[in-house]
Amino acid sequence: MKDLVIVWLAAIATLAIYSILYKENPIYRFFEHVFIGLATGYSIARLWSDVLLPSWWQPMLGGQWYWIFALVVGGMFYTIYLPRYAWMSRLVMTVLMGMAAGIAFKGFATLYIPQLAATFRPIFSPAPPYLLVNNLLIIITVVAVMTYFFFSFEHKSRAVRGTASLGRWLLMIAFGAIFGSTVMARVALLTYRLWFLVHDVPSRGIPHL
Amino acid sequence: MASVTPAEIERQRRQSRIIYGVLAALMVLFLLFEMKLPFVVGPQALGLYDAVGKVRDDQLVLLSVNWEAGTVGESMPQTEALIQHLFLAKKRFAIFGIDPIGPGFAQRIAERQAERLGKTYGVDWVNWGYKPGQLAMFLGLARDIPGTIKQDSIRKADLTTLPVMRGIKSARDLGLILEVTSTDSIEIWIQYFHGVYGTPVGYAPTAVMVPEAYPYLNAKQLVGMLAGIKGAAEYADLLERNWDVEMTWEYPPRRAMNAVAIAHVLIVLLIVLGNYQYFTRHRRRAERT
Amino acid sequence: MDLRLEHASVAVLALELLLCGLILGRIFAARAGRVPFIRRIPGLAAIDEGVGRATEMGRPILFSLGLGGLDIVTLQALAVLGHVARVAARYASRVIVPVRDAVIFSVTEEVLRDAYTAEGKPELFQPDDVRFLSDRQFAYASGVMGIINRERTASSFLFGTFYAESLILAEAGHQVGALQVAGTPSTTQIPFFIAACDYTIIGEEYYAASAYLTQEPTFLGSLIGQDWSKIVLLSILVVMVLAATLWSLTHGGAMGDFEQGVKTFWEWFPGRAAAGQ
Repeated sequence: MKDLVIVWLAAIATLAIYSILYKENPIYRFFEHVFIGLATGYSIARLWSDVLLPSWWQPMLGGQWYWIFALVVGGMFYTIYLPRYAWMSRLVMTVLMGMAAGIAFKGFATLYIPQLAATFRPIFSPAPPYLLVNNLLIIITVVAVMTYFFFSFEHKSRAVRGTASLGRWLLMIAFGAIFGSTVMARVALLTYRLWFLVHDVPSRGIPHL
Repeated sequence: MASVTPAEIERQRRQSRIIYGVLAALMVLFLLFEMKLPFVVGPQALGLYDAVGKVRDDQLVLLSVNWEAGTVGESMPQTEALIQHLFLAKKRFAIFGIDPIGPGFAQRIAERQAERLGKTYGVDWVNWGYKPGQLAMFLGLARDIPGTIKQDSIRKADLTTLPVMRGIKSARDLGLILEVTSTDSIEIWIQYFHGVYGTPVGYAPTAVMVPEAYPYLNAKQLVGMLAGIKGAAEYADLLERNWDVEMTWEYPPRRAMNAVAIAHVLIVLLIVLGNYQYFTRHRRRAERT
Repeated sequence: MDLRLEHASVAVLALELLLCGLILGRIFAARAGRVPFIRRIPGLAAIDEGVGRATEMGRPILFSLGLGGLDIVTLQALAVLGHVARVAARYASRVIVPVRDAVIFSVTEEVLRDAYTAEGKPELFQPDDVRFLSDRQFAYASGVMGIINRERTASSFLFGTFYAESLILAEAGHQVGALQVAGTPSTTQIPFFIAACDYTIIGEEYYAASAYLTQEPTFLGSLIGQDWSKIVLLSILVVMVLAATLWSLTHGGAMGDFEQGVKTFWEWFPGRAAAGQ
């Protein structure tokens, strides 16, 4: 019985949200608000049960009283709404920003240096032709696209202008690939909802089927 | 910019409804009837499959699930495929998420598969639950997993008391990180786990994020990737070929891929038609003037 | 290339110090008065065109800061908003700014108020033009669509972090005939903006836009410093590609030792054993 109710509620909600394709209507708006409310409420519940309760509340009540200062520091963020005390929120924000900036140096090294090193490839070599074409494409793309994004001088000379123009074309090809992938993602999401409507609803939503 | 009259808006809306109707009808047809369309498994999915097989018995696999209801269509079959493989290959794993909703979905999938395959919570897998995706949390996790997570999300038991967590202390004890996500959270794992400790990282993004992942694959910062629903279908194919066990799916990725394929064919046809109309209209206007 | 960088190696440290030095050097030079040249960025001229259009038509401008929190991308968008608001104030045009984040809301109000005050027209600033809609993605998008349709905005500026709602916003502007200028570093949304907007500022041009518009020495210096950093990295790339080619030709295509050498170079610090040993 519970499964029946869940499946039918989900089916009605799906159709209500898809009704926007016809035109905007109060049923769509109602289910949109229900969705937003549910997602927010669930997130808050999970935040308490998975994060605050085991990592802060229980240790604080279990003898580690100094965790109370976490509440004080967390509260300082909210002083941004009080103009007289807003300087406190800037303190904590700048500490966080400083920490993030410092850690970013490590992140930059571990993320981008391997990619830079992976671009050190031969463009003439006894290797198979398809590998060389691959290498050449990668190197030309990197150089051309980086040239497009130079801002400190005008792209006046033919060489720079040509390279920057090639970079722009290559960027557009990449954006086309991203566009296609995004279309695929959206279609895939639609497919799941159609599957739910044509398979799950008949098999789980109708008793004795 | 274009100045669009109400009549044109209404005409466009009418055309849109026809297209939506045709698209939905074709996709439903391909969903209802199972067809064996030609299928090739790519090297990225194969790389991920092999990486799971290489995890040692004294290591743990971290299954990071950072997706929510909006991307169920791609992320759920990916998660389902990975969990089935982990169970069949007898690799212990932990479910974790920096999104509150993801671990709940993964837990449901794991429980369903565990019932079928005879697996036990706490022995074969554990759910670490949700932790906010702050840098400090990731750095703490890399250095001290039990100290950062503290208790599991289902039984609220101390992690160190669970058999599945035996010998697991830090990122050095992780054999593989599998990130199933609809966001760009992969960078954190590459930066602070793979780049520092050498932990292999596998990626299962929605199709939107796939083109951005190729630089990481190229630089071998990722061991493999499941590219959206196609990746899930490829992985399902690998499981069916290599295991003599029937796979079960809440949402079969191979059949879904058939429906996606026909949708793509229709979209390409409409793009060609639209562009043909656009260019002939321009030519006719130029001829008239 | 599988590099293990648990600690800063000598090569990484040297490279990062060099890049930081270049950027900081150019920032200090710009602050000392040596203002660098930045080439014209197509798409930024359209900002003034958009404000002019709104003034002629007597309809408001919409400026969306996207879905980011108080981060670099949104701060850059706020800098562009400041410029748009000053130009709009000069011609007595309204700028409506829907926001998604409560912290950004207060910052946005300040930016807008300061812009109108700087142009000597503080009375034109309407607090109701900065509207907090929702922190949920599609609720925000629906709200912005509603504003665009009701107010019939003449121009629409979409600057910041965007996700799946990008095409919804751009399409809404297209339907009311607004001139649309978009700028975002979100690579996955740029294709949609290119398809639906009149001008799109892509990738690093987004960060250059705030420097170009504000002419702030720190922004300008930082941008030029990054250009120099790119030149350094490109030079390293070109030299190493030539080295790899030479190696491949003289070693029958076997690149194993070359790659090992590169790995050792990037990972080495005093006291560390050579990679692979």
